[in-house]
Amino acid sequence: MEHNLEQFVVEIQELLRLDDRDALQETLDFMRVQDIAWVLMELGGEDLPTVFNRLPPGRKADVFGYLDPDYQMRLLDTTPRADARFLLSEMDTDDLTALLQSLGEEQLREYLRLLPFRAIRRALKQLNYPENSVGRVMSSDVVAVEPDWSMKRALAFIRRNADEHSNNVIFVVDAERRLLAAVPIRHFLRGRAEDPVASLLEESPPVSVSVLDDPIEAARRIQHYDLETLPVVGEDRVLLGVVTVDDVVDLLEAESTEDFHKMGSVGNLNLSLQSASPFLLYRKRVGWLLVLVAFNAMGGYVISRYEEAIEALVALVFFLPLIIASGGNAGAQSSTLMVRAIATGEVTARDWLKLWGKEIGVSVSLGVTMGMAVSLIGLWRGGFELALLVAIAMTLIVAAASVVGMLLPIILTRFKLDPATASVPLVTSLADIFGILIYFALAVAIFNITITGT
Amino acid sequence: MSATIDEQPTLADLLRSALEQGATENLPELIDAHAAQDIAQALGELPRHHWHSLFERLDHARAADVYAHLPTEHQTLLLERLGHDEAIRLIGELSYDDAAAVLDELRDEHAEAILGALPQDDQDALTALLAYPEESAGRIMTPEFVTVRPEWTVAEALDHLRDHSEIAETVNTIFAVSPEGQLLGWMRLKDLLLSRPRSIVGSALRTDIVSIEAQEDQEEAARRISHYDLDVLPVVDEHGVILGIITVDDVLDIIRDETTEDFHRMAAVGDLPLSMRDATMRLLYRKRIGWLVILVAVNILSGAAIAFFETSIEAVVALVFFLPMVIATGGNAGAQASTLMVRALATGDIQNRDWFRLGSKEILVSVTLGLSMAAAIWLTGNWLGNLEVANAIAIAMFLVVVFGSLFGMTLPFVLTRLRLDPATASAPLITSVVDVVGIVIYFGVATAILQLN
Repeated sequence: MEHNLEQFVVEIQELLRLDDRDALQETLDFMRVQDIAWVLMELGGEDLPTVFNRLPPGRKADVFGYLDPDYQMRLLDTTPRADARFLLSEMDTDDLTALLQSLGEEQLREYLRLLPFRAIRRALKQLNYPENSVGRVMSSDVVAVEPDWSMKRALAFIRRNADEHSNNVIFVVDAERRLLAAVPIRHFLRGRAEDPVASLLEESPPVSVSVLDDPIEAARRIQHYDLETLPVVGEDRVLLGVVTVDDVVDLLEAESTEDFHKMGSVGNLNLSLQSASPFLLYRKRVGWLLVLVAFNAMGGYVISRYEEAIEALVALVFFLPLIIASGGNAGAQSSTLMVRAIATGEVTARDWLKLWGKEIGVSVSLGVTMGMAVSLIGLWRGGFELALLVAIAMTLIVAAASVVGMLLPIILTRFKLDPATASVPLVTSLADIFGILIYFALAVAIFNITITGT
Repeated sequence: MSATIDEQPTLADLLRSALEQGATENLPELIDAHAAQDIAQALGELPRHHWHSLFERLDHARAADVYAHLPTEHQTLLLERLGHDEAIRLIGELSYDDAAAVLDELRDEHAEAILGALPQDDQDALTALLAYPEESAGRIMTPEFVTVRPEWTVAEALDHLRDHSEIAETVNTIFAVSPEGQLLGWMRLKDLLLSRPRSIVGSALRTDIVSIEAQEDQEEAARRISHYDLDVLPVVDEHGVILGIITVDDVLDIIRDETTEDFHRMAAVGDLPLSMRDATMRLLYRKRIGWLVILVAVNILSGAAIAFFETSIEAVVALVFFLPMVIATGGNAGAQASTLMVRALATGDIQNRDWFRLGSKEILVSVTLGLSMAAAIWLTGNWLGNLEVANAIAIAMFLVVVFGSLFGMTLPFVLTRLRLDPATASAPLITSVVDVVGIVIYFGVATAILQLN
């Protein structure tokens, strides 16, 4: 499929170059709206509005909903007001909220003016929920039926009021819109059309999420209970909206991306890599690099304290990067394993004692293996004493770095910080400092070098 | 990411104390009050020796339900502890895709014994699934679906669905097929329920089918389902005959597993088939030692590079103080760049052909980063060394950071070109390579500027 989409991009670019309107029209008619949206974002620039305007009005609204907010903004800026009004009023409420919350104050006011009154009220209500709450990501056009309706009436009502991709679950509410049940539509196969909806209700209340919860909690519930739709309720269990599994896919993807970037010591990028400016990328990267260089400067300072040891035996330096880098690598492995296990919920902070015991076992065996490996090189380069030094140093440093890499995410979680802050570069830099200390301290002891100190 | 630290007793704690204190009369109450998914999760947190005793206390239907919600590795472990008859009963209750996953994990003779004891049609279905390659769409599909024929009336179709809806994994989306089983179209149950009973199914069918071939990668199945917002993705053979379906809830699991795999690869850890909690010490050791040893080989080169510049070090020992700082920073910048690229390639944010555009952006970013870092180390150089040394290491820092960034951004693309996983460009691999090159650049620049030869 990826392959086909790429071909579409090339084909459409070619048709635009030839200005072959009929062929372009034909190609677009053949494509699905999700694919058109994808291709439009790939094209970008001038071609974005050109191709978009060739679409029939009905498809325009569908395609528009699948674009990322910054592309939606670009289109709105180049469309006449009447068309913009149409596009905005056709959007699903969750997509609309996503667009509106990425706007500045002034732009927001301007766009809101384009909306019908009811939609403004609804949009403002959703924007009023705290950032990072379910209220911001849910879709508020949710259709519900009442228990005393007949199944036939309920189905007809759903058909009239629900949009294309809704749901295989029908929500049942009381007169105050309090959520009573979520009935899978397959249950409508049972029973007769005249029976009341109430005859399908089960006793246990449906799984739901509060409008103020973290969206990740909604994602977790959908994943845990294998749901397609999760009702969102406010005070008194009043039904306010719905989160669907496709929203969750996006949420989880964004969450994992954030974790990935943190693990690579990159600041929080809200934009895609495609649209991020070089300056933004610079800002998101330089901060951690500077912090880490400060750590590394400490390592440099420690080395400078052992200047005499180096002057006495230059061969010591040959093994320094090897040993500290191995410690860093082992630490990076441990911290990544922990961070991911905490993120997926496999491991919670209360498990640390058990995992710690296991990690000590693993890290000591890793250390011993690595120590033996380098001791042979030490023997070859510098004789028995050097071999002894690098073997012991390697074992200690690999073991210590693994344990630190494993503990750091847990400690961060304990202090309610994000465990992913225990990034690979941070763990590596910490391992460097400890590594240098251990290495030279051992060297001084084994070779009986006197350090006078300065 | 919000990791919850519950100090209240969890369901697992409650179950455990009920089992250990023999207060088993509380147990049915606890079990009835919780969803099967929650009990399955709590079971995973209990010590292994309690699994069996907890399971014995569940009634048959409940046991099957809880069992179905366990992760595959726990299903396998539990199966190995249960009696033959009970094992067969539980496997028989699973949907085919889940049963195939469990059998795949078992020892061959054990799997064969269970398979042989199942009814013939179950045997056939499972054998067929297990014949598809691992990680393919065929492996994760379930053959439990219902189809209708386009020439049927709506009433006939609904009767058929009523009779078969219990065995099907989902009937929310219904597929219409030819007598040979070729996929002709689809419709939603919602629409079928509302059609006039005597109208013909074919007249309401939608023909814009998205499907996947059984041999294709399961990741591709996940991507199609999320790209087209599908509930159900039909799996077909090369003739378009429908073989099974993949439902949207499978996708979340695929995405989670693929993401975890990427995370681990980025840290140079081999693919872990088990969760962290269940992995044994031996397994963790094996999955980590491989890359560590390979990277030692790379690091030995850095030792050799230093040895090559022995005379420079003897002339100005202060050079060594700044060495880890410079090469570590280059490695960090490289790790940042490769992380950004690997993730963007994985989410489809960028494609391989974006290389050039991103490359020119990265040059700009890395030059500015290099200048900033050079300024920072120049100050440190004046502190621990002198002006001349500071100048030399600042220039080296600039070059190493630029090299590290460009290398970190390029390697994932090169790996993709070679049809390898871009996540193999792990942070430790990047760091180690940058170490070697960084040492050469560092001493090369220092030797030239300080005229040490």
